[in-house]
Amino acid sequence: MLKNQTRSKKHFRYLHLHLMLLPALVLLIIYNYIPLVGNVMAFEKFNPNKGFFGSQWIGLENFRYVFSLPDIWQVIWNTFYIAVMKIIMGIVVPVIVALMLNEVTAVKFKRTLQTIVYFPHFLSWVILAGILVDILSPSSGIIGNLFTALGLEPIYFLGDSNWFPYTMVLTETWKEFGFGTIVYLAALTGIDPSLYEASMIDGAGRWKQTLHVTLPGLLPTVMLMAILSIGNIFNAGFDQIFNLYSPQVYSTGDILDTMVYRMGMLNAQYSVSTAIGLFKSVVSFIVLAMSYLLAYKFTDYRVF
Amino acid sequence: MKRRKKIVAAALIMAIGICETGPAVCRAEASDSDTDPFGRYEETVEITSVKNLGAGIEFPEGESLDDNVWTRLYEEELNIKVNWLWSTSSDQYDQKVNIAITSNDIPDVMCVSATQLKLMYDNEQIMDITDIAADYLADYTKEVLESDGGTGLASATFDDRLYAIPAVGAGLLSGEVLWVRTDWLENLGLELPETVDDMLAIAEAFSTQDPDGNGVDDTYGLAVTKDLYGTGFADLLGFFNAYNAYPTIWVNNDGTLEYGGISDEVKTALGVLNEMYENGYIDPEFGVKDSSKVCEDVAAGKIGMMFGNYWNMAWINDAKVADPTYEWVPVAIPSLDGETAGKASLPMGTSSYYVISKDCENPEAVIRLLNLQLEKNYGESAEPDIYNITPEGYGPYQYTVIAVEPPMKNITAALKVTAVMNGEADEDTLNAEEDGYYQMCLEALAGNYGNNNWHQLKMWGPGGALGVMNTYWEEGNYVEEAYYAAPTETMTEKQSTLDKQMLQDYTTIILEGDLDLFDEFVANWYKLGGETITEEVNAWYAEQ
Repeated sequence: MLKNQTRSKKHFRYLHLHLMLLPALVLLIIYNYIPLVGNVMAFEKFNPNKGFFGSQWIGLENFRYVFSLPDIWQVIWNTFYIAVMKIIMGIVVPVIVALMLNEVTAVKFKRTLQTIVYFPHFLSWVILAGILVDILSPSSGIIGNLFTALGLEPIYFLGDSNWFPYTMVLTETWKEFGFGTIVYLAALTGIDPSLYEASMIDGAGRWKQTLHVTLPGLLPTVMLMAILSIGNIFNAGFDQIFNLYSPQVYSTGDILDTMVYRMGMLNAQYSVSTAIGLFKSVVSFIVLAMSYLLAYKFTDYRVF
Repeated sequence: MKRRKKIVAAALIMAIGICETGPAVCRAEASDSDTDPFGRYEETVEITSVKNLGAGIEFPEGESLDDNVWTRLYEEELNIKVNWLWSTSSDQYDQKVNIAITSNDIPDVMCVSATQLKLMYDNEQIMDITDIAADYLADYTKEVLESDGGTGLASATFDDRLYAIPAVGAGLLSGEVLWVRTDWLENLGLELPETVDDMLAIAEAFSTQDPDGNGVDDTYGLAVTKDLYGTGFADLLGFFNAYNAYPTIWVNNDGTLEYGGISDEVKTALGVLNEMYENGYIDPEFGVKDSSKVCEDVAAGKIGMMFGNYWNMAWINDAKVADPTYEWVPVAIPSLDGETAGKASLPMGTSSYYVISKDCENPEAVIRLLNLQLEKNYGESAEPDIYNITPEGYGPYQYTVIAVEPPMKNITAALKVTAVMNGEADEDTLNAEEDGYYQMCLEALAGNYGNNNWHQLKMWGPGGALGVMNTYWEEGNYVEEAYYAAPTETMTEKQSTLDKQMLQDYTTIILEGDLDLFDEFVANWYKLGGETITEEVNAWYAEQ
């Protein structure tokens, strides 16, 4: 009883802080929760004139239609394959780069490097796509010429359906790893320096320190980033793929979002697009919840 | 498409007219009758609308979308006040309209696409305007709306009732021509192509005989993009047409409508494309290049022939400025057997529609706005230098609520400009807009290629692309889209799947040369909805 009382007292004392949370909460409800109602469209033959609640209810018909599309499983697999690889690379590469940058002692050099790798994050895919087509051209691009100079057969990165998914993962990683690196660098500064001192006294070298102090100290941030990005299990990156794919790589490069674009935007099948969107969200939610539970169970990690 | 519209719009703006019209002729007699096409309201009527702001829309000092020559004319002549609910740039417009439709937030009058029209009809969001149109359309407006042979109006008709005003256009303007680099022809001592064999020989020569004389094997015969067809620039549609194949339209074959994309002629053409690809007459990396990427190659002097629309030179005008010896000439689609001319495939001319909300209180006001727009821009009392394109270079034709053009306007303008340039007619036969084009053509002839002068010459001038297209029309060398109604039910459901399959299989055949895949594609096409669509289309045709 006593404990409860102090607790409510504490809550009261911090009331003004809770009130400050209110505007954000209201925005969240208006923009993220109320629109959830719109998901009913996925079960309707939506007619705007009749609205969400007056349109004809057709149950799972839209889902049946989506899963009867001839290439749907190929598209789901492409989406999943590309997205998973991007998630893994999106964690591994920034962590490694952050660890390496952390070892750099020349502050100016470190800052410059950090800015350079961060820079591509600000370019849009529309622009990058134009540049990449040139750079990756097997006959006239820099990369292609490099291969030729080394006596190798140039790879047709954007036109070969075997290479296309990897090209997407590599270019996305190249564009975004600088951003991830900053997050991990920030986490590195939060590690208690006394731990390093203690390990040094115990005779640990740079490598041992990294292994036993830095990495464990980084783990909570890595876990958080991993769990957050697992929600992207079906987001393979619309902007990038839409701007770079072509009919010859449809077999490995067409993803759910580009399919929704062609059906929803160009053919105005809103209910079908909503059905695909809902399907994506439900699966992402399940995977996210599961990964969180696993993280909790095995590493005792909790967001809240 | 969007880029093309922008360029045409920009060209129109740049044309600087000379005042040549006499005093404004009186409009139709003012009358008190309720169905006067130009009747003025006693009390101000408000019409809500939305605006697609084309590239390059500008207003004179102190004016705006809410206050300009047209809004003042509307108020003065008709006592109609325009209330713009929103306006947006062209690349956003389609999506904004989709949002308006989905959220049921429909203005009194709005410009929509064919798909959106069908959707709004199905949603019961728009008004049946059959009776209003019959009562209020002015004679000239009627004439313009019917000038495409009635297909525009037919495509806006559902169950014998009219639901929209078609912004009638000419399918002819989408017909393709073959652009050839004549400076390369001269370097190699070749003639302009007339037959498919000529074209293939030129493609080979351009790829293998170093037409630019730089000593490097870096040129290709024919431009191809990853989209194959539908972009209008470096578009293979004209190539298919040369083989009597019409992959993007429904063809009327003795009373049965057949989809052009599955015909044997397409298979033949794809086989030839594969040979050209294997022989290096086509850029081996075409499969990843979109039209703007291919345009860079064309401008850089890597490619010597391309099929495309009449405006194609607009994209490479700068290359001409940089290198005045760079020269292209448009010719008609080559003949397959050397005797019968190639036929251009023409899509439906009308691609946008003006719909009136079912909640609009004064639908006849919209018709009056249309009557006034056509009359003041192109009718007997037209004052184009005030309401179409001003001598200062503004384009008030873009300010209107509802805008329809006489469909053959561009062809007519080209014929007139060409006649004047050939000395067969006087300059004063030209109206302000045409005279603007004429002046630009003269500049280009004088060697002043910049400011987009050169590509105007390639459109309007003697031997220009519009002149070539006029021969299609006069000699009947065209195949028209035979299905001109809104998308059928199965089309809405399956078209995107079928389109993807078609593009993917065509590309694979060009790259790999496996012609059996084409038969497989045709079988799949029928199976994946094509059969039902064919039935629906023919059921529609039987009713016509």
